Amino acid sequence: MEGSYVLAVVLTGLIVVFVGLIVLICFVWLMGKIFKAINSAKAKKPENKVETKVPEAVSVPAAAPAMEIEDGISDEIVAVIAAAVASMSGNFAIKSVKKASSKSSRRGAWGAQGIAENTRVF
Amino acid sequence: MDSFFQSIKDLCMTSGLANLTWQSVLMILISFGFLYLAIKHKFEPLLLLPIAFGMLLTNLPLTEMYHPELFDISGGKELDFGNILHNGGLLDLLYLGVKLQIYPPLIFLGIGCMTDFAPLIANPKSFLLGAAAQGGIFFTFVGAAWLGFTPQEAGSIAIIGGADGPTAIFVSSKLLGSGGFDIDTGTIALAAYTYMALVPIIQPPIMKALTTKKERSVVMTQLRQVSKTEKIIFPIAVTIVIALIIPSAAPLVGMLMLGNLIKESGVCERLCKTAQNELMNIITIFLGISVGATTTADKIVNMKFVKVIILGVIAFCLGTACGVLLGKLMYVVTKGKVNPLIGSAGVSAVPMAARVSQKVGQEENPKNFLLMHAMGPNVAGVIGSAVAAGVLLSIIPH
Repeated sequence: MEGSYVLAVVLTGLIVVFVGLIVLICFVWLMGKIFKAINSAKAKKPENKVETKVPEAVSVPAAAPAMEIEDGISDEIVAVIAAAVASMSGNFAIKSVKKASSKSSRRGAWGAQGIAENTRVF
Repeated sequence: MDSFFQSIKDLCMTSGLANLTWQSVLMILISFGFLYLAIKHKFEPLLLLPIAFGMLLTNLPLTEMYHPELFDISGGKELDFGNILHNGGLLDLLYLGVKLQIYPPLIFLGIGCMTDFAPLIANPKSFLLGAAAQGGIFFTFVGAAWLGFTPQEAGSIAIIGGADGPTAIFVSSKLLGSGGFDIDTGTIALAAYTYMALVPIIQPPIMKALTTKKERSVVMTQLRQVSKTEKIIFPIAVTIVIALIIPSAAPLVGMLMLGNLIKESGVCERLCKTAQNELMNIITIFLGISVGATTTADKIVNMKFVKVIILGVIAFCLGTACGVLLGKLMYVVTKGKVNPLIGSAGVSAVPMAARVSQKVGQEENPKNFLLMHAMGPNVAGVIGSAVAAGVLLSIIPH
């Protein structure tokens, strides 16, 4: 094989492979942009609705200054409880977060659950 | 009594034992070696096992299962299909699927049904890494030419660097189809599948040698979600673009994309299941055993086969190195947002090469998950090697 032929095969091969795949890059990139634009246009309307609800959700943390938090309860626990309360419909405010006393109930958690199951309204 | 001894003597003379040559014994032992690698070490067992058994069958004397002379079309002869159908054995008939390039595109159909192109669509820059890793193919072509191989042989050897078995079989059966060469499709397939199985051993040292600890530790940002519509448009667009630029790559890319469209459309569940299971398995058996049958002693027990083996591993190493080096360039250009390790996945070998990127990346940073990022170049490598195959078929006369 002549050196010029070998060089021609190598250069042609590399250039054609790169050109072919760069054309595909351009196409896929353009397709991604178009779909992103379409999706963001679709998402705009639901976003407006969410914004109207935000002030209601803010009302829950507004009660936070009056909240009494017992020592030993971490901020993460308070945040989880606040999130659970906020997820319920209606206006609820957390006034205090205290550990449940072991003396407050003679039954354990499993026992309490059993009572709840058996006394549920038919 | 004499006639009894004569008939016993005749029977012995016509037995396989009497016709064993040292070459066929050596080939049988080599087939045992590949069977061992496939069964014990699980080296690409789905293909290496049928290939090794085809090698065993074809090298047992007087089995009459495969007749290379039926496919000899050197000197401008035409393939005599009537003769093959009348006088051919089982493996001759199965080999028609390789000779006529039917099996590799059908394998690609099944691969298409199993491939998720979402990581590539989400990060189209991965195409560059898939293209760079094909450098191994073209640089090995130079080495093969330097070692005295003909353009057809050099092209067939070079395609091993694509790390894609069906593509290697497709290219070599076309380029070497006219006969009269010292190597055959079986030789190429054997080397390709052996090295594909060795990806986890071959690639990591090259990847580590070419990258710094800092580069290997790069954590890439999460890929965006790809919509179903994008996934449906992608295979159609790729088929059109590639077929228009390199028509000779159309059988491989077209079938790969048909399989992917069947999967992504979601309306051809039965076809998808068949293509990726029953059809794929049947073709794999036919392809493996018939390719193995071409590995006769005269093609394997010579110095050219040794050269093919050496060039094959060089092709793999160069492909890996090219991918990693372009990954490094992308690391610099993007100011450290691309982990160069995903570049090595540009050599097809799906999903093994991507897993290697993930494994090497996690060795530096256990919290780093590169798998999905590496799948982009990995599937781009499949398209890239099919394009490279098309280029070789277009340039090299056959």
